[in-house]
Amino acid sequence: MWGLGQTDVEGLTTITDDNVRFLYSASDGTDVFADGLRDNPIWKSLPSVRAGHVHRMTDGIWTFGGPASSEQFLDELVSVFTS
Amino acid sequence: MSPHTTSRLAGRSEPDTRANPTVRLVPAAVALVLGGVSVLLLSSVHLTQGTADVGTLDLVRLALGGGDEGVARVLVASRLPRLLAGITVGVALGVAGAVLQSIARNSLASPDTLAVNAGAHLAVVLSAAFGLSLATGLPLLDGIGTLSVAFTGGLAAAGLVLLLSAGGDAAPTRLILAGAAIALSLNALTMLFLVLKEQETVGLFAWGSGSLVQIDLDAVTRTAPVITLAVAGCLLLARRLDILTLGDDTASVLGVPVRRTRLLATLLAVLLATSAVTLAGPIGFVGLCAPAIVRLLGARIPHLHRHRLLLPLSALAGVLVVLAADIAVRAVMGGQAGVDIPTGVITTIAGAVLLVWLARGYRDSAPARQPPATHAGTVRGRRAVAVVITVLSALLGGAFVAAMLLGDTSVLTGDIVNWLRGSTGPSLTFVLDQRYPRVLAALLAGTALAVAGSAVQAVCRNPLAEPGLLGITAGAGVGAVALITLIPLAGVWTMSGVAGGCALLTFAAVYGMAWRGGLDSHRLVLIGIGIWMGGNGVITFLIVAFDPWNTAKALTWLSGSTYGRTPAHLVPVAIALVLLVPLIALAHRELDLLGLDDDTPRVLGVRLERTRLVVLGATALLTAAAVAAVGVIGFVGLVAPHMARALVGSRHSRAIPVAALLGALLISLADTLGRTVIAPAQVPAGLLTAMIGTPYFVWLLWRSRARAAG
Repeated sequence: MWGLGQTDVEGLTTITDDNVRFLYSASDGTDVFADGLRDNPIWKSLPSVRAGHVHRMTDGIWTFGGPASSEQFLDELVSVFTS
Repeated sequence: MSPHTTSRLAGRSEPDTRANPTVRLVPAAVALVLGGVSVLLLSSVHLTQGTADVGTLDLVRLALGGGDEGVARVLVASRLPRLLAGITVGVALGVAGAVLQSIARNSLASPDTLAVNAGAHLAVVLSAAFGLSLATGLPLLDGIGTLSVAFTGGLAAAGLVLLLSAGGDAAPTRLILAGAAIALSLNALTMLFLVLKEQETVGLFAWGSGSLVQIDLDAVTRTAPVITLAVAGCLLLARRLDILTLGDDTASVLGVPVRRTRLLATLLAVLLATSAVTLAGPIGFVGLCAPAIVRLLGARIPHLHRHRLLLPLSALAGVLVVLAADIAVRAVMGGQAGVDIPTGVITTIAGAVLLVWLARGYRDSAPARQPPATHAGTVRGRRAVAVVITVLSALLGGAFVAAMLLGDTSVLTGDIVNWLRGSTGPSLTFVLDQRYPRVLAALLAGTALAVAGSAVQAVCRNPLAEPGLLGITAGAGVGAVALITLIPLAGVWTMSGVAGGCALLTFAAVYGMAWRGGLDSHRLVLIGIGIWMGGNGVITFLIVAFDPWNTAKALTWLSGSTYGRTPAHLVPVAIALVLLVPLIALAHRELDLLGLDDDTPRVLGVRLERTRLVVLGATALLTAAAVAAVGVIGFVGLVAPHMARALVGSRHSRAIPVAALLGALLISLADTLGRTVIAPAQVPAGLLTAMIGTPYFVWLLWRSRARAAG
C-alpha cells in the first residue's frame, strides 16, 4: 500500500508497532523531527521513536524520482534495515 | 472630563442614562458571563476532538485521576496547543475587528477587508522565499523577526487602503472595495511566490488558509504576551474610542487628540491581527464576524457602544467563532479533517455570507450620484479606429505565434509548419499537441470574458462591474468543481451546463440582493466581492477536502489556468462565442442607449427590461463557458472594456470588438508568460491578470473619488 497523506503529531499515535522504520526527508534545511518535535511528549513516547528507528534520509534523494532515485532510495532502505 | 458628560453625549438613543448605573450594568455582566461559559463549553468539546483515539471518556477518566499516560500526552502536546492557538487567535482578531470598525466608523471594516491579513501573509511568505528571516537559531529572536515582518506587511497594506479611500469618511463602501481589491491582489502575489519559490516556502501553503495545527506550545507562548499587551492598550484607549465614535469634530472639541488616538488604535489593531497571522495564518473574516455577532445578539445590552464592554465581548465572540468553526468541521467530517481542512476556510465561507448580508443594507452616507458611469472615452475618427483594430489584430497574431513557440520546450516556426503537415517527430508532436489547446483556450476565454465585461458594464451602468467582481465566475467555478468532485468523469458538456446554470443563479442572486428600490453600484460590487470570496472559500474547501493532491484541479480552480486543457474543453466556449457574441453585437445600439440612463432608451422605444435580461443572460453564459475552459480568471472583463473605451470611444459597435481583441491578448500573454518564465513549473494565468487588474480597479476607484469630491 502506498499513498500521500498528512497528519498532526497526535495522528502518529496510531502507529503502535515498534518495528516500524520511520524515514524522513529534510533536504530543504528545516528538520522538523530533530528540532521541532524533539521535546514533544507524544513524539518521544512513540514506540518506534523509543526504539531508535528514526532515520533522516541522505539529502537529495528524490522520493518522486525515476530509476536512479529509486536505486538510491533502495540503498538507503538497506542501510536502515541492516543497521 | 466627567463620565457623565460622555454618557449623555454617547447615549442619545437612551434618554435614561442617569438611572441607577448598577442596575444597567447587570445585562452587560450577564452577557460577559454567558460568553465566558460558552467559551468554556466549546473548549471542552474542542479538547475531545482530534486525530488520535482519545475521546470524551478518556479525558473524563483522566480528569478524575485515572486514565493512562498516553491520554495525558495527547492532551498536553496536541489538544491544548491547538485549543490555546484558537483562543489566542480569536481574542486578537475579535478585538482588532472591533477597533478597526470603530476607527473607520464602518461595520464592514476588519483585518480582512482592510487587507491587513493579506499584507502580513505576503510579507511572511516573501521573507521566507528570499531567506530574509533571521534564522538565528534562537526561537525568541526568530519569533520577533517574523512578527515584525508580518506587522510591517500588514501595516503597509492597511496604510495603502486607507490612503486610497481617503480615510474612508466620504464613502464607506469605497474603503471596503479598495481593501478587498488590494487583498485579492496581495493574495495573488502570495500565491505567485509560493509557486515560484516552491522549495523555500514548503509548509506555508497550507498555512495560507489559516490552520490551527501546532507542533508545540512555543508559538502560542511567544505570541500571547504581545496580544495581551495590545488588548490592554486597546482597553486603555477605550474611553477615547467611545468619544471618537461621535465624530472627529465633537471628539476634538471634547479634548481628544483625534489623529493620535486613531493612529495608536490602528497600530494596535494591526499588531493584533498580524500576531494572529504569524500564529495560525490568515484565519479569514473572524474580525468581521465577531463585532457583528456582538451587535446582533447584544441589541438589548445597554452601553454596548462603550469600548470597555464592546472589546471584551468581541474578544469572546472571536474565540467562539474560531472554536465553533474548528469543532464543526471535525464533528461533521471526522478528526482527520482538522489536519486536512484549514480552519480559515470555514470561517471565510461563514464570513463571506455575513459580508453579503451586511452589504445588502448598505448605503453610502453621501450617495455619490454617478454621472453616466461608463465615461465617454475618446471619440475618434473612422481611420483611427481602423488603425487601432489593425494594430491589435497584428499584436494578437504575434501573441498567438509566440504562445505556440514558447513554453517549457521552445520550438521554431519551422517545427510548427512541419507539425501542421504532420511530419514532426514524436516528441515535438507531443509538445505541440499539448500546447495548442492551451493557447486556444486562453484566446477564446479572453474574448468571452472581455465581451461579457463590456456588456455587463453597459447594462449595470457601472464602471466597476465585471463577471469576476460580480461573483459570476466564482459561482460558475463552484458549480464546476462540485460536479467534478462528485462525478470525476463528468464530460465537458455536463460541466459547462452546470457552470452555466450556477453562473445564472449567482448573477440573479447578486443582482436581486443588490436591488433595493434602486441599484447602488458600489453595493452591487460589494455583494459581488462577498460572493467571490465565499465562492473561493467553497472551492478551496472542495479541493482540500476531497482531492488535495490534484495539481491541475487546484491550479485551474483556485487561480485560473489553462493547465491540462484538451481540445474537448474548447468546444463549449467556441460555440458560446459563435452564438452569443453576435447577439450582443446586434444589440450594440441598445447598449449605447442603456449606458445613458433609464429614461432615454424608453423614450426611444427600446424594450428596456427585455434587452437587459437577454444581454445579461448571454453574459452569464459566456462567462460560464470561459470558466469551463480556463477556470476562475478575474479582472479581464474589467480591464479590457476600459482600455477599449479609452482607445476608440464608448460606442459599442467599436468598443466591443476592440475589447474582445484586448481580452484575448491579455490572457494569451499572461498564459504564455506563466508557461515560460519558470518552466517546467507554471504560473497560473489568473494570477498575472489579477496583478494587472487590481491596480486598474484601484485606479478607477481613486478616480471616482476625485470626481465625487469635485
